Amino acid sequence: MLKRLKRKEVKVMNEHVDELTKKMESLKEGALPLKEKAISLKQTLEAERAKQNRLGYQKLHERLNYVLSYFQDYDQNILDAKTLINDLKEGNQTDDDITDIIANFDEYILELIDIKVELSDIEDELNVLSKKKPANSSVLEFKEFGDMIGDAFKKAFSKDDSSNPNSKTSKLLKILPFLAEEEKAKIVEEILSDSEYFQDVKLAVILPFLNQEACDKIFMHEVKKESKNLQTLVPFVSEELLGELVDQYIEGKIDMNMDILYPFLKMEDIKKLFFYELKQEN
Amino acid sequence: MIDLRSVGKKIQSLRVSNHLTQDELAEKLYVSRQALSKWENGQSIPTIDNILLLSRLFNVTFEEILCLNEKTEFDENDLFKSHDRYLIINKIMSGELVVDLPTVFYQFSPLERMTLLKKVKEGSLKVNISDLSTKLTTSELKYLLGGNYVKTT
Repeated sequence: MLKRLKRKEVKVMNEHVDELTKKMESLKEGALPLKEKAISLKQTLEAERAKQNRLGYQKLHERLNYVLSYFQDYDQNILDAKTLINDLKEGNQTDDDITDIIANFDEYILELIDIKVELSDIEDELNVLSKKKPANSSVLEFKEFGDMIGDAFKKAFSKDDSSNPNSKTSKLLKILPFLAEEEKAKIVEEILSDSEYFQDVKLAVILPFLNQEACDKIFMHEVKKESKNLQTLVPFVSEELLGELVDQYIEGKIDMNMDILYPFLKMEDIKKLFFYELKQEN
Repeated sequence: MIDLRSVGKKIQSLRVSNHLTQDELAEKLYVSRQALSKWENGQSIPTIDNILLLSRLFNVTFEEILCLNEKTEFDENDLFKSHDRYLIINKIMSGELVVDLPTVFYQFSPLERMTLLKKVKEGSLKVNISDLSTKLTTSELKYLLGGNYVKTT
């Protein structure tokens, strides 16, 4: 009796096992396409990610090339500057030539600030792409190289190293795009009240982020102060204000160096100014 | 606004057609050869007095030297070729020069890019924002889109 019962149990068990095996095989059959689908999806995702990375790297490559193109002319610029400084030794340079030389160096410094910002942006992008900390990246080394050149220029041409003007300008440059209009208005107020903090900040770097009215106000303030850096500010002044200055100059109400202004005037104002100068000569 | 490079080329062509070397012309104008070289390369521009002196010397009008009546040609692939950077940016911002901004955006320096983005943000420079967005850095996107910026990576 017991034997018969056991045989029956074994039979039931065997039937269960058969059933389960069949189910397993059917699941396996169903799972195979799913596995293939998952593999293909993974491949697509990887390809897409690789494509995105490739595009990102391509974009970075373009921008690095652009930064490098900045440096292409730098050796020549520095050689030209060296020639000009050597000529200074001969002592036959006019005040205008010297102002010109200083303006050249101001331009180089502005360009270097530009490069530093660009490199810092590239570094950000690279960090996003690689999702790594910037610790040992070559871009950081390149940025440090930029900083190094910037520091060398700063030390060589800054009137007062302790005030560290470039770093102040750099800091401002990083936050300015994200400031609200009210905050920018406060900065403008500070500049207009000759706040000590802004004494050694390069205004030409700040003006692109301010509205036209603020740019015009700051320029007029600098005109009244007879600032020597007007040349770098003129590009950000409205043509209307420049036109008004031409009129005031012709009427004898102001006396300022129109040589720095005329390249940025409207055609009719240029003609007005030159005809006036011709009339004066005659 | 004056195109410094065009003025430089004009001065150079007038000098060459009058068979003068840079040294000779510089001497006539009482300026250094380096100063003249910088004018011709578009790195700086003569003073008003010097423009008038040049116009007398070469018997041309100041308008001709300053290229005031000349139509400027631009190449979108190399916007700054033979042109002053300020001039190009000014013309784009004033709408005088119409370019496909997203396509040419890589040609501008970071400060120039921010200057242009400021105009886009103010609405005075019309551009397809979604096309331009793909060409911007993270911080530029944050600046342009402000609170609407969503990090996608």
